[in-house]
Amino acid sequence: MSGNLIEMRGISKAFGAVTALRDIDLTVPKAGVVGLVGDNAAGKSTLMKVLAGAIQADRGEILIDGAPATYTHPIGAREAGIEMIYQDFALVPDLTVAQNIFLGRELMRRVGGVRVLDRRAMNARARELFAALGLRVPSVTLPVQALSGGQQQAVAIARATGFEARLVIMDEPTANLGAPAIAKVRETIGRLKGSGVSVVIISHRLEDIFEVGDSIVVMKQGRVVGERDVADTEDAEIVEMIVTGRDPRGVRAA
Amino acid sequence: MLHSFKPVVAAAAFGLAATLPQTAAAQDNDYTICFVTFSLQIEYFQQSVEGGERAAEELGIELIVFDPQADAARQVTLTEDCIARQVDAIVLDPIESGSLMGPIEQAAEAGIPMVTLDTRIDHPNILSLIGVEQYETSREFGRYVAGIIAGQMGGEAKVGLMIASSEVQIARRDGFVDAIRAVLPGVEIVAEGDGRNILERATAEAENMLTANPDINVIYATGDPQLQGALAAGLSQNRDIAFFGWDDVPDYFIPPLREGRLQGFLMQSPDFNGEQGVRLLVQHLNGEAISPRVSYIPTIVTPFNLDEIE
Amino acid sequence: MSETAATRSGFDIRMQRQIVVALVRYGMFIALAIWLVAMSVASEYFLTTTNLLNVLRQAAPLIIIGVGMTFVMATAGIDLSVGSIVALISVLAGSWLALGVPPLLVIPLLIVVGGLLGAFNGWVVTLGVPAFVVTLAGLTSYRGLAFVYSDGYATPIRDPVFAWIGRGDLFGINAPFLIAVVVAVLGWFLLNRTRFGLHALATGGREEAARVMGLAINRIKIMVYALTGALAALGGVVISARLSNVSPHAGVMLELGVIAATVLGGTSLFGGRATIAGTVAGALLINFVRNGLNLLGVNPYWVQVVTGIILVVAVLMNTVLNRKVESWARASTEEERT
Repeated sequence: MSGNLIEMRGISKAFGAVTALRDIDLTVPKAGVVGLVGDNAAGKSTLMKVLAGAIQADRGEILIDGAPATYTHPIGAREAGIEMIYQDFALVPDLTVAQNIFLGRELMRRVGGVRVLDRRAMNARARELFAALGLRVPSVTLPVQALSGGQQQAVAIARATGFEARLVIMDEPTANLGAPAIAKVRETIGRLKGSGVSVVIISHRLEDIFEVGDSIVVMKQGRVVGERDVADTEDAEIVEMIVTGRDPRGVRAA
Repeated sequence: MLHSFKPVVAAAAFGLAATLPQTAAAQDNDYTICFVTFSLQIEYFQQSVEGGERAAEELGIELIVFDPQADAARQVTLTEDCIARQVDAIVLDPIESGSLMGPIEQAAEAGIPMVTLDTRIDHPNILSLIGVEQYETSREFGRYVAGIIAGQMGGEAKVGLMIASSEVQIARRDGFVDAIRAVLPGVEIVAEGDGRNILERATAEAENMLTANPDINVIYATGDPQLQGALAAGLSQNRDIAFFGWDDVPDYFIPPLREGRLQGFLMQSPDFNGEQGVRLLVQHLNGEAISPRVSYIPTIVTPFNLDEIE
Repeated sequence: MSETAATRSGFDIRMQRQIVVALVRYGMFIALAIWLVAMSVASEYFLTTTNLLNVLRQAAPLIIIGVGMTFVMATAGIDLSVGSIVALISVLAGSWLALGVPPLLVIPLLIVVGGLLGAFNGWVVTLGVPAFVVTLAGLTSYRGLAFVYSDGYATPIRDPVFAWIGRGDLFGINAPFLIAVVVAVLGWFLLNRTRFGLHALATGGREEAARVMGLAINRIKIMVYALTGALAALGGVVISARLSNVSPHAGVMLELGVIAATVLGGTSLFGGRATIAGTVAGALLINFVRNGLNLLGVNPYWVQVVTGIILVVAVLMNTVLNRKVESWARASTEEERT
């Protein structure tokens, strides 16, 4: 309603005796880039997996464009326009680039009444996607395991952005990448934002978030510590929030 | 396992003999014969093959031995390979006679004559069956056992059977049972155990049978593992039972016979089978007529004639 | 001077790589071709119509069931129970035919039974029990059922439909091999051209990735085991027909031959990579090795040793070559980027 694409309210999740998420509120504005930061056990990935439909929350609700979301499965999340790029890319090494991109939503055609994979269409569309993203892979018919790390990420990005996503969640998109690849990632995020797609970046590299992000949310031990607009804060304050788990401006109630 | 080298040695030996001037071979028939046995893991068939190899050496022919290891499908495959090899004749010791119709037809079309050992297969291409008459011999043996029951046990007995589900052993059971029923209808056959030709299994089956039927005092076993297993079970349970049966190899049964635990068994001569199989085929290939049935009467070995046999 | 030398060695390297890539993709067929040529030269009986058709018939059950095993391995699974399913199906076939059920009804029913047994295997696998364990249990219990049902007896079957399946032919090619060809073609299509085949490969290639992409992993697993069970039943029908005999002893150790043929053909035990054509080549190679050595009069026990050696060599080559190809591809993509 208020220009927010996503509103997560009161999300809680426990795994057995361990509480991973405690009453989390999070908003993602339309065409906004949100950085999600915090130390290792903060619950960032868990929260995003709830949003992406891979995990079910115990309590709380999610509103997408003001309407409650009802999906219980990654496919439902994707149908709602939410795509996630996992830290390990979640690609199948033996399958080709095109096969990975279309995994679960393959293009089919009919051959004499039988539904058959439309490999030519998928290969062509995959090439288009890369062109549109300004990314390069040597060939869309190569198995993914034959590509370098940066190229594999390009495939993961193409997969997440090729299907009219409204929100792309990136889990540690720049970890283990060299400088040229990192620059590419930043460029991609900018492009997505430019075409009206919201992005959530989970990262421990604050410099990336400060470079391309609009706002930062800090989490610690399953709680939101605080939120800032990127323009309104600086590195040191965010680090302090991550480490102490307290919001120095004291706005948020525990 | 040593036996596995024998065919190679034999083949090498008369490969060598064939190249040397005629000194070794008594005759020289230029034939290749395939011997498809049952399973060389069973000593009975090892002796059968040995008989065949002896005959092959004497007659100066090449013998190729194939071992299907008691697998009926493999026997079919090996027989097909023999036919593709275009051998002159085939000696076959059938595992499951029904399975072999295909290869037998193929051999007939290829003009390769065959003989079978131990098990009858009715087909014009099978020129002869060599082996003991299982049913008739068992019936004779059954009469003999009936005589013992009548003479030494007052004509009453409770009989347990230890069999295996091969055609040969079923015939052995049927002959025995028919004889007992004909001669002493009052004698009861109380139980039947299937040893599957495996010693451990036969022993376990026999033990179960003896436990379930404490009044068994006669046991008839249709084959070597079954007889061994039954004897072992009887010994471990310390039962007073008269054992009778068929052997494949007599050595195991001499001690029990001597000790009086075993009353009598039928001793076969498997090497006779193999030898005759090869001989008959060579005779046929040489244009001579051969008998469609060659059998012998196995010796009934009892404590009384043991000394003569040894 | 140095430039031409560099381009020439660059060309040589590219040539070498092409050869290796070809070896990886077609290695098994090359090996099969080499063996066929060698045997034709070594034995005058090898290249006869009789012999070749015999071997094709002997290889048929391995191919039929191997197609199923290829799918199972694609999902990083394994099925040790196929030989025992053959036994159970064999025994049921004999009993139903004896009851007078028409064979054209018996055969589809048996395939359904096989499919259900397989589906059960698959279902237990989805509960988290390792496939090795589940199907090992199937190996013992399905054969046990066969023995219970038949009391250990083998019985002949005298049915004209089965007789044709076992020993009949069409245009001179024997029925078992024709059935195998049809199964192989359909299997190839299913694996390489349908969504189901792709998803099976994804499940085995990286199950977590398949899961987050929303693939129906459990359904896929159940279906590949059901497919294998159904094909094992079809294989059992062919075997029983060929022997004109049903027996609880049928198919003993068959699973090992099927697994060997599948692995020999290039399908990976760890999932993600599978080839139907390879399985066919593997099944043919195993049978032609046995056949060739038998025709040459080599001690038959050597056949087992040779087959084992071929299996290890083939898998080793496949693994090593595949790794080489991957590292080259990655290196060349790095080159392109800089």
